[in-house]
Amino acid sequence: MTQPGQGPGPTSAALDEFAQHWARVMAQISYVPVRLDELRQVLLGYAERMAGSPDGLAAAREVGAALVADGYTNVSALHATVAALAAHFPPRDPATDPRPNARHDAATDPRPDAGYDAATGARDDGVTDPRHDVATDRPGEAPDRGGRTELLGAVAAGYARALRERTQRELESIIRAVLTARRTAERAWAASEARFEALFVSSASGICVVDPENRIAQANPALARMLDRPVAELVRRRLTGLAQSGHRAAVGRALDELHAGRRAHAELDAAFGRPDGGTVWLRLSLAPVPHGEVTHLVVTAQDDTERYHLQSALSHQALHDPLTNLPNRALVLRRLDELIDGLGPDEHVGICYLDLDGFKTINDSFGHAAGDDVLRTVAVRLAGCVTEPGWLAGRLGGDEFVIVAADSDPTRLVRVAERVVSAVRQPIPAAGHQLSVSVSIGVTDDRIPHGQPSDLMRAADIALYWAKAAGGDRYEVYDANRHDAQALRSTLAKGLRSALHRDDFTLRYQPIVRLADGVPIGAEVLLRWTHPEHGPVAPEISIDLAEEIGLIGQLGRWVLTRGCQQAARWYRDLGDRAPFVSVNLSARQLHDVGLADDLLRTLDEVGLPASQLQLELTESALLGPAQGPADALEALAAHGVRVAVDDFGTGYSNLAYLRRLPVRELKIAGAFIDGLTPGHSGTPADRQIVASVIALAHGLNLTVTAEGVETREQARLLRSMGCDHAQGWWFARPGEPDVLPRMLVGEGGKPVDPVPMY
Amino acid sequence: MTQPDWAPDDIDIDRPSASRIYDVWLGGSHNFEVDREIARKTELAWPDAVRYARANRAFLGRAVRFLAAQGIRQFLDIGSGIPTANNVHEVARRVDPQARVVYVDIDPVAVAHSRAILAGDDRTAVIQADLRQPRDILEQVRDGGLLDLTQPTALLLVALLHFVPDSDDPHGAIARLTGGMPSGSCLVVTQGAHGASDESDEEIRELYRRTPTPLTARDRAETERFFTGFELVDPGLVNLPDWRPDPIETVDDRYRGALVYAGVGRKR
Repeated sequence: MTQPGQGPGPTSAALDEFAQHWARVMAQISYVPVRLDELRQVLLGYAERMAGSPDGLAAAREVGAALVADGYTNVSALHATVAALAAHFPPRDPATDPRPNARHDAATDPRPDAGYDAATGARDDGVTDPRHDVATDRPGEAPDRGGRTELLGAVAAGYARALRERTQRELESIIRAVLTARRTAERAWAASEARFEALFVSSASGICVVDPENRIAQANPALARMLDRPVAELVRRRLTGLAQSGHRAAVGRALDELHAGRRAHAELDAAFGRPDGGTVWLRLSLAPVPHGEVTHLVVTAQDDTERYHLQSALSHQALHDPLTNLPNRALVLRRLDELIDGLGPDEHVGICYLDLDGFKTINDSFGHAAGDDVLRTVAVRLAGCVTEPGWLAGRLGGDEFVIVAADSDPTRLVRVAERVVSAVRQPIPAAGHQLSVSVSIGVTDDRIPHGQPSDLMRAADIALYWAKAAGGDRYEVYDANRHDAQALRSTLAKGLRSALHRDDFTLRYQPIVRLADGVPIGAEVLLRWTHPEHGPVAPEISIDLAEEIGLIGQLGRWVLTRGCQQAARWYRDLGDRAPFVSVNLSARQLHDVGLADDLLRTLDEVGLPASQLQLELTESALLGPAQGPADALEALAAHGVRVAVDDFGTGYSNLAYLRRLPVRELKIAGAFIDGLTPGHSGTPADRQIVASVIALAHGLNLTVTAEGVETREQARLLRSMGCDHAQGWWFARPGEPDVLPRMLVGEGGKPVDPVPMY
Repeated sequence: MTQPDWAPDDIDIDRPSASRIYDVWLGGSHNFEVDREIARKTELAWPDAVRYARANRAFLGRAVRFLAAQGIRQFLDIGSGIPTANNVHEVARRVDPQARVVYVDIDPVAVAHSRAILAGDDRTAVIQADLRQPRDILEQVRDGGLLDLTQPTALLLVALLHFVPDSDDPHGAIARLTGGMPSGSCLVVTQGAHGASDESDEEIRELYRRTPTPLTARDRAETERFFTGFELVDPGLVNLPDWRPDPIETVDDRYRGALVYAGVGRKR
């Protein structure tokens, strides 16, 4: 601002008044808040410049520009200024005007306006220089008093030029700001991109972006390392296709859910194949990347293989036997369950149940360390024998092992069992010894009743028991029939003992008739057992069982006593016509030391003459070097007890005993009598045998009884052959004791052949 | 790592900006046709918009003068916009040439422009930041080292808060920004209230929806809530021109048709 009051011009009072007026109008126009007193001072300064400057027009232009610089960019400010100047600016005193010709000066001012050019950088754009307008004399216009018109023009020109410059400058600066901001943003963006790129590239996590088709659009090196394929090889491949077949569906499902927008995030574990055939377990985290129309997904992957392996190891530990590293009971049973659940129509699952023979002895004799050595070696050999795919050898515990055979057939199963038996048989080094170990194996498959895992294990266990019972070092194949018979026997054996007390046993009497006249002369005592649940039990089975469980002595005595009691009743009732009783005596009974004494006492007790008792003994019972039985028989025979050889000709005969023992009678087994039937395949031989036996007996002064006579022809033939006695259904079925008295009086059965002789 | 808040694509001169619209009303040419269009249309709905802008600017000047007279030498001006006449640092330095000012704006163009204008001035700084991320503002201010926020500081939120909806939690931002400032620090707020007619209000709001910063009007109670923890100095929360008017100020700041609250609070 110029200092006021310098040089020629209006009085300072006039200027002050003008400035006050000017400030009042300008105050309303200003864009910027200004204090009125400050504004008046500023404007007063401008007024003084214009009034006092030797070059009033130049000063006027400067003032116009200064107004713009002060922020009076509203064109109303120019309007107000021009109006104020025109109305109130004190006139210049021409006498003091230093300019010789203001008009001329203004019109012909040759000085280039540096600011003008410098500001725009170019010459005026076609608009006539205002200075020329001012210079133009218009006809009829009042002469400019004191050059005020020129002054107004100069202010306007200065203002307009400055406003234009300012506008251009501001526009330029704002455009520069835009460009700068954009450049800054681009740099920041690029830096950010670079950081993201670095993050992407150097991340330890595998990252990839997949397109809506699940093809990999971008993949980072970490993912490439995890999958062991170069990044370039991953790009455009489907992520699902890289997953292992069992995991593709799950990966595909998760990706689809995100593509469809049904989920915003997903995590899953999946196994991926590596080119070397290895597996990498990845924990995948999926999230959408909305970009434009299509949604890509970003998939981050953590290599979880170690954890998986750890987990596998843990589950291995949980499912394997630490001593042998074989699958343990849990895993074996699970495997068996799985196999049986998944059985196809013609598929079968087999198992071998193994148990070392005498393992306890090894532990006891050589210590548990040796026992463990044996178990480890057996485990290795067992595993070596089980090479079929899908078969599994495991340890159930202790010295029990098992083989679970998928898709098995009996042949292969037995072959493996054989292999295992002979493999175990090889000496096993343990605790400094070469130990001989053997194994028993029970073999079965699901073709058994029910066929559930527990049924298989039980069946194999039973077969194992058979193998053990047979001496071990072998395998046995489970057989349901054998098992059933065994099961029945075991049930019956249990019932046998109580049967004796409960009187479940009864005796039946089968008449023995004299063939010559059909008169019943005796009766064979037959034991009958009716089991409360199983019904009648065959006599052989009862006797076998009784022998097996050591009840035969007791049972035999019971039979003898009852038989003798009955015979005694007949004897009392019938006297001399009374039939004798013929009681079977087992080898065990025969070897019983007190046999003779017991028997004689019994006969005495029941009041039966010894001659009314016949003992039937098989040849095998009679054979043997022991002297005891012979003595007993001798003693009994001496008292008159009859001794008969049962089933003569069916055992290994050593006829010497016939000379040695007090035998009175031979009984021909029913099997030979069958052969007497005409048309029977064995007829000629059997007839010869029967004839020979009869001849032999008669030669030795023994009588002969034919058993199992069922037809008239047989009876006739035997009589014609000279056979002494006979028994069988033809004459009478075994029956109640009264069958004999009734036969004696001509009732019941067919005791008497109506044709006495040929 | 943070991504930049704005990408090159965001710097879009086809989108009007509140700071450039304000520049139009202050007679500036730092604006584009899109800005001038909104300015013109706003003036149709609210013919006193120019007066308001000038009054707001006048208030800013009076408030800064007042604060400087109270001894405040540090100013944090958020939403500073396009520099124009009588910027905060110019006003403050008339009281004390050592006054320091940090200008903050969300608009990258305003920031770039401010930096160009203020280049070489080592007592001012311009940062690009968002009121809604006060922690970022504090970090940038601290990193710049220009202001010592343990000393009394004035936080200027002039013609800013009506661009911040409650959902962006401006109260929380103010609390965070001023939480660490010592007692005696000050808060300066202007906040547009609801106007004379719902129609013109809605019209203006509609216009500003085109900018990145739509308008949120607040009533007195809502505006006073910004001063939680502060004591309003006389005359309290009043219409802009009524806040400590300068009796010899030239400009007739009386505008009609809208109420804009102004207030200065001192931290207790």
